Amino acid sequence: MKAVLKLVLTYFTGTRLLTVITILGALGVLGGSALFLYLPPLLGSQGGPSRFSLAVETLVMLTPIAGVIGVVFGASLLPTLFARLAASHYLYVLPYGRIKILASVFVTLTLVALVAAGTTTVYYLRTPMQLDVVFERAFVVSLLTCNLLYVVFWLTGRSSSAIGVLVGSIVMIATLVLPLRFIALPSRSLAGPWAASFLIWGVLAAAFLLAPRRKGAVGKIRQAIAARLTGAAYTGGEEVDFLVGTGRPWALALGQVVPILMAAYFLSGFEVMAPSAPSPWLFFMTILSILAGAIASMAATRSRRLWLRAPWTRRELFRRVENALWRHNSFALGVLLVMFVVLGSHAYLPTNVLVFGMGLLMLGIALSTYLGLMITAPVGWLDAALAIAAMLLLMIVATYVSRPVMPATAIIALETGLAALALVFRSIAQRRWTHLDWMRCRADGDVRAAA
Amino acid sequence: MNDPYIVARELGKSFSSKAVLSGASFEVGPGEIVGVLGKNGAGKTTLLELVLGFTPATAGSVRIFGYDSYRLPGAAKARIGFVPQQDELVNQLTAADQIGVIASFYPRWDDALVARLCDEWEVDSRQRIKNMSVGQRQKLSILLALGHRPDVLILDEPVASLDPIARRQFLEQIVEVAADGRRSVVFSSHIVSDVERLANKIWILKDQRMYWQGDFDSLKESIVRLHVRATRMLPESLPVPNVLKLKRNGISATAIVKDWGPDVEKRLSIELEAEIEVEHLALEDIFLELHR
Repeated sequence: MKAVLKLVLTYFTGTRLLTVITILGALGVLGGSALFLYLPPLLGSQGGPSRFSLAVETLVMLTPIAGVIGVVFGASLLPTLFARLAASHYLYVLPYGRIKILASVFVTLTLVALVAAGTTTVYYLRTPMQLDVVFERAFVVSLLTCNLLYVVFWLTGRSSSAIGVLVGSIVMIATLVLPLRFIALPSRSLAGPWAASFLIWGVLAAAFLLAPRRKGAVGKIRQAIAARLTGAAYTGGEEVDFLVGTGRPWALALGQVVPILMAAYFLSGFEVMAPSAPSPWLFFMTILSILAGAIASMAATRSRRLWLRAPWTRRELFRRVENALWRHNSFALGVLLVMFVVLGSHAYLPTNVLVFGMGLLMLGIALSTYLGLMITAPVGWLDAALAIAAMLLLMIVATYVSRPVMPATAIIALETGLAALALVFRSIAQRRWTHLDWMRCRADGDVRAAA
Repeated sequence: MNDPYIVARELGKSFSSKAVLSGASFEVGPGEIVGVLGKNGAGKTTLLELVLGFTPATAGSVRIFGYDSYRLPGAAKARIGFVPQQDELVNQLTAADQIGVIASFYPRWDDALVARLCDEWEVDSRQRIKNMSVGQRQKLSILLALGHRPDVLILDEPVASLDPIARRQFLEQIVEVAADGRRSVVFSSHIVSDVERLANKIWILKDQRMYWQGDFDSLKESIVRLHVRATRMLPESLPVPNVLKLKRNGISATAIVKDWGPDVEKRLSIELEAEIEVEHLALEDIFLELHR
């Protein structure tokens, strides 16, 4: 029990930043809920709501949600720590290690889901809805969401890049809206989320507890798959593609289809997509476009071998890597555009949403690519802030684009602004690459080994 | 005599048809410090992993504390400490957090010992693991394996990345661990001088087999270099068993011989009518001669 509690605590407070986020999240949930419940309606001097009172009420309403997001993010060490322990020898030598580590994961997921469900229920306290029903719906859907979120976070976190983590975070936020759908539609059965949650937990538990005993067989299957994917799929091509990791563009391009179809199911139900609500679609597709460009964040690190092998200046190296990335990205972008047009047409999205949406997808991939190319050293606060600001801008523009009432000129202006931002990022990246120092952008392990 | 902690019989491991270890039988009892030597690929890591039950044996068996090592219960694991070849620390945590996580799994964790070692080995517990040097990380890994005062401590090339001072501190600590006569240590290393200084029992792996095992004195007495000077031409081969290497030059020869003994010396001297000079080798020389 001690180990389980310690692990859970470490997931939330493993680093100083996570400790702060967790505490702020908890304060947001508790304080925001208390304000929401007990603060009397604010009125302006005329006895009605003023702009200020409305703004304060909005802030109060949003604080618990921000708190939940804080708690979810607070535990973002869970996938990393779990994966590290699961892949290490500690799993074998720690007493009852396997079962305790697994238990800590389930306890954390349940805890986060309970916080989310509890907070959701607070919003319904003053409504005639049955609170136990609300809580159950919120809990089961939060649980499923958390399961998926941490898997996404782990997958994106593996890239060790700021962009990867950022995209993971954005997907997390996007996925957090899922519970609202199930709560807003009381008729929708909870059997699916329950079954999916148990399936995920069952598969995770079985894999975690039994896989080491089947290590040989699993290893053989993995080797066979790897041999097929790497050996067979890579058929020469340019050296720059091989070394930068852009040699197999189809893998990512086609891989995007799966989450898009899943989103089609989750976001609105494939057959009943509401033409009046294109924003989730555009939001989701924009995230995928950012994800597609995220490979660029490893380019500086990977380019070292190219530099050693080719007689190029750093500027020339940048140009070639940039070209390779765009060749790679064009596949992903092509698939995204086709999917967007097909699904958008199926959902009767207005033509202007389709047109501007396609522009936005291109801008998403461009911004993410150049943000990635800007990473030539450990990511500092300024770069992180720039990246977050750019991603938020993209999301805001996605929201505007999806509103058919928005004037075309405003959207064109916004997208032009994003294009200009991409050019600024490109210019910064190019300048940084002309002074590229591989000691600073190499992976931690390499630097230590060199030291 | 106390029951041995580790007992292996005809232990073997192969992947597909390739054997990486075969026919290894050994015992490790309380108070023993076993140094495992072997070239790269000789099977050292495989041997240690089999002992710890990380992978199932394809032949024979190995038991720790009487349990099949592949199915060790938690209580038995609490008596084992292990340091892998490459550290498996969590970069995001501080040393103190990493120690806290690992400590929470053990019912008896010696905080005082860990604090003392952190101090002596200059491991800053507030430092993030990501920012530690390779040597510091390795020290921390060793600390984590020592904290619960294990009865069996297994280390896979633990000192490869330590500086000479840290290596000496580590060796002293291992001696301290085994000093009470109730604990045992098995460690592999390429630094033969460390093995020579520390181990009271040596295993030499060669060609995926346990080539030699025993205490260091027996090894020194068993494998020797002979300088033979005869009055007439020496035969093509010396009339002694287990000649590992022979360099003959007319009436003189130099040979490396295994399973040497005083009776063999006497017999050889009479048969060859030669003067025999026996040179006892240092461990490093023995190791090199065995692998040349």
